[in-house]
Amino acid sequence: MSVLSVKNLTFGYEKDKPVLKNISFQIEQGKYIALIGHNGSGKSTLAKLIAGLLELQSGTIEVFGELLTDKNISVLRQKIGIVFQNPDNQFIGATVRDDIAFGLENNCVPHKEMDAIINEFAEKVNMTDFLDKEPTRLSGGQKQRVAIAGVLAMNPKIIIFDEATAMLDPKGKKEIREYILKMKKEDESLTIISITHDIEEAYNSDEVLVLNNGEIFLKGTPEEVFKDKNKLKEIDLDLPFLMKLKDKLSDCDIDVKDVKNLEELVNKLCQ
Amino acid sequence: MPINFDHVFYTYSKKTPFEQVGLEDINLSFNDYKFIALVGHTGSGKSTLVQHITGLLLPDKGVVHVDDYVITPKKKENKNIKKIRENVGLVFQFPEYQLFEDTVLKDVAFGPKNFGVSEKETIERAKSAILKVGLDESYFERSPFDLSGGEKRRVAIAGIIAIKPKVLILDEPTAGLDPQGSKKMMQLFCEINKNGTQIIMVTHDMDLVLEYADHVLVMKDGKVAKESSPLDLFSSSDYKELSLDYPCVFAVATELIKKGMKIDLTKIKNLDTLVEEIKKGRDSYE
Repeated sequence: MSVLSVKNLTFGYEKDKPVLKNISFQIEQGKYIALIGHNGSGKSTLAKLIAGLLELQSGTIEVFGELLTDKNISVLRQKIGIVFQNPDNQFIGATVRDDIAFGLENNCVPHKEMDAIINEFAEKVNMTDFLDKEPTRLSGGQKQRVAIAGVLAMNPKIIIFDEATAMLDPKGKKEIREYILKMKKEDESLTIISITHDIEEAYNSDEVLVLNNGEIFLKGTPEEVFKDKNKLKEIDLDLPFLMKLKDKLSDCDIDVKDVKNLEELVNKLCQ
Repeated sequence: MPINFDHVFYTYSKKTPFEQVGLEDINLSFNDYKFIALVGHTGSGKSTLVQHITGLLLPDKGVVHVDDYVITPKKKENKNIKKIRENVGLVFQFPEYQLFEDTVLKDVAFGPKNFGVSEKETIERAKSAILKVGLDESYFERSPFDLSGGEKRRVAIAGIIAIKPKVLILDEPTAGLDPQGSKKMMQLFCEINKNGTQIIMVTHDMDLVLEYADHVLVMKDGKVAKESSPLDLFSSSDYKELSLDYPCVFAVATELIKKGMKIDLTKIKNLDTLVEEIKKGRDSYE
């Protein structure tokens, strides 16, 4: 089932300068989608339009088959959660508990139920011990985990991660990435859209969407998208490390075309 | 430019319940190196260290020497600090959040203007810095707030380059940039480095450390845990004990070595040199 259907979407912040140009695509339920492309290619704009944070100018967005309009935006928005890049910009509460509660309060969840929900999701992201701590005393990774708990507590069906790990150190990045995979395992119907510059992450996703200059440049499984390396080079997009290495070796007439991972590559080279 | 740390101590939120060690007995000398990488986990003291070089933080104990200037714990003694900042440019992490002017050109010109450079030269320097970071003339009159994240980053870096510092300190300059943007940014830093500007770069990317740095400093709990060449760091088991990542190119090379291929780790700096070594290693098989 398609959870998200975007048709002929055009959007610009200034007149005659479209950031997105006539974009159409569909996303199936339960998929892990990597949205890649250069800085300025329109990725975040697209995410904000899907999450209903920007007003549509032309084109349509359907969420679970329902057309996104001014009237139903607040209802449909509950199905979509978004985690932004900067952990410091998404804190509202004075404590971790208050912060997770914020979304619930907005949705008029009765106070009696709220505590249980907060505890449940704090536990899921492993932040139970921090519930009464001030957000400023947390590390970047911990802050992003709280942001994720806040989003999860709203029970969304689609979660957009807008470079959610870009500001974290390698340990924080790993933490969040592992957490996303765990989340996905627990609820297979959850759809994830990850805006990322991490080519290795994109390589391990279900489907890759490449944006360039506000247009969809490529779309398909990672194998399909990264197979077309000349096309990716055309727009100066990076390749996964293994592919770059394979490429360079092929240039030197060393045949490693068929290897699929590092181990196979090493074995092949040492034959 | 000579930079020396002499028994420097710094504590955050001193005499409060939140007291936390920032730096503990740091002794350093950066004189002999051109490109220094500063690595270590979040909270290890990297940013605290670089903020001492520009006098943004004053030591609790000890002295920092920058060229002829001395930074001491006493506020009153540090009158020349503005001079230091003219010579040492610090690009903070996520500098795009510091843009404030209404056009890109004005924002980049702010630094040199502030240091008393003539109007005409300020504009020239600003224009050339903007072009250097890979933006074209059409950006001069645009508002920095309408740019994408990566473009904003470039504008912020141009602002520091326009000051023409002798030492350029970069706090994770490529974090959050797309891979191609990072590559171009690193090429720019390399060029600036070759033209005689010393670079101190805070980073988590060990492949960058291996490729560009001639010296690496590992911080841990406010102390210097190791100081060596990148090669020494990654060819001993120290990097593991310090729980640092291993450069991708070395990961491939060591696997090949395990399988018996003859590979000279000292020759490997990046993908190209790795491929060169693999070629040689295979030739020696036949």
